[in-house]
Amino acid sequence: MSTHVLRGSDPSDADELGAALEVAFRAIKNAIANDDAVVVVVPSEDLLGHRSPVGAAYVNALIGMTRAVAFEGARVGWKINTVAVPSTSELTDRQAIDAVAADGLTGQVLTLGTALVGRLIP
Amino acid sequence: MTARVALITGGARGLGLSIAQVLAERGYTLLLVDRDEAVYATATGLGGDSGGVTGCVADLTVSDDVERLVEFVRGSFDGLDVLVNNAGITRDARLGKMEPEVFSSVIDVNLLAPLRLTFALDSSFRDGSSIVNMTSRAALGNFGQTNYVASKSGLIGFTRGLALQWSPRTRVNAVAPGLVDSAMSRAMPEDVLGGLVAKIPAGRIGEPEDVARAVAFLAGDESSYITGQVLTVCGGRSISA
Repeated sequence: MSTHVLRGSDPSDADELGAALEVAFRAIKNAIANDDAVVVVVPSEDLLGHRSPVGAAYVNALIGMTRAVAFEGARVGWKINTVAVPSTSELTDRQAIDAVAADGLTGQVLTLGTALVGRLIP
Repeated sequence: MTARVALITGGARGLGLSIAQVLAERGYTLLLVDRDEAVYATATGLGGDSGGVTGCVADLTVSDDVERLVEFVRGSFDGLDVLVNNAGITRDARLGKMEPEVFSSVIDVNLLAPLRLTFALDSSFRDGSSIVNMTSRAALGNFGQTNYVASKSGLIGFTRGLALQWSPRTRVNAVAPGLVDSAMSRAMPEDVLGGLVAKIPAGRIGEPEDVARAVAFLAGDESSYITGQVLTVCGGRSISA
């Protein structure tokens, strides 16, 4: 199984948000159809809305997709996770893939960095 | 004392109607918005001749309708105390059969429309106002609902981000109902519904009033120190095995 790494965009209004989510949906659907695993990489600041409401809506919608797709594909082995990193991070695709490589890990949000320690779990 | 003004989207029937009933009982002046003209009869039935409940037909995915609604609010009220973003749809399909336009149609109604309406109403909100976004327990994940789950999870993100941005003037919270008695649940085969209810620790399906009272709590001053939170009203289903 190869892994598709999806890096989100940075929508600033509702129109851009809708377009960005459809792009992400197409990418995830295609990856799953190809039997690829998926890692979604998002800015951790947007998990709890520290940058903007639209950014938070986008990142949490991606997390929703992660969870829904994992739920639907649990029995057939679909693997999809989200890795949240500070926006200043230069996390490589390889590092993102390795971060969630464990067998059975799917539908989860892994937050790298310490900025959200002690905060709500998204 | 002037009555507090609440706008409820999707207010013609179902959960929106129950929310309206509870807020009306608590003395709110209501503006019910819906795509369906049944909203006029609902408003009349709820408010009688008091003038305390107004119905308005609008498709909140259409920008002209949003502009018209905002102008109506500005022309009719001194300000807005409560907004309940309740209108929503489902268009379920397995991932492989869900076309992108079906995905986006649910995103449009459940996520983008609340964003656009909320931002458009920005200058109408009074100090101490409250927004309640209706999300869902399904935001945690559900079968065949990639679009719906994304929209409701996105709405939770929006809730948190806006809570930070609009504090302290406006509190922003979300209510996440689980399985609630509705036309949709009553249409389920009895064994399917029974299986779902069996997984609810509370031992029963939720009633619309269970959800409406949670909305009223977050709308009112009893929750004045609560913002950016999600109140899950699911009888414990979200933590059960």
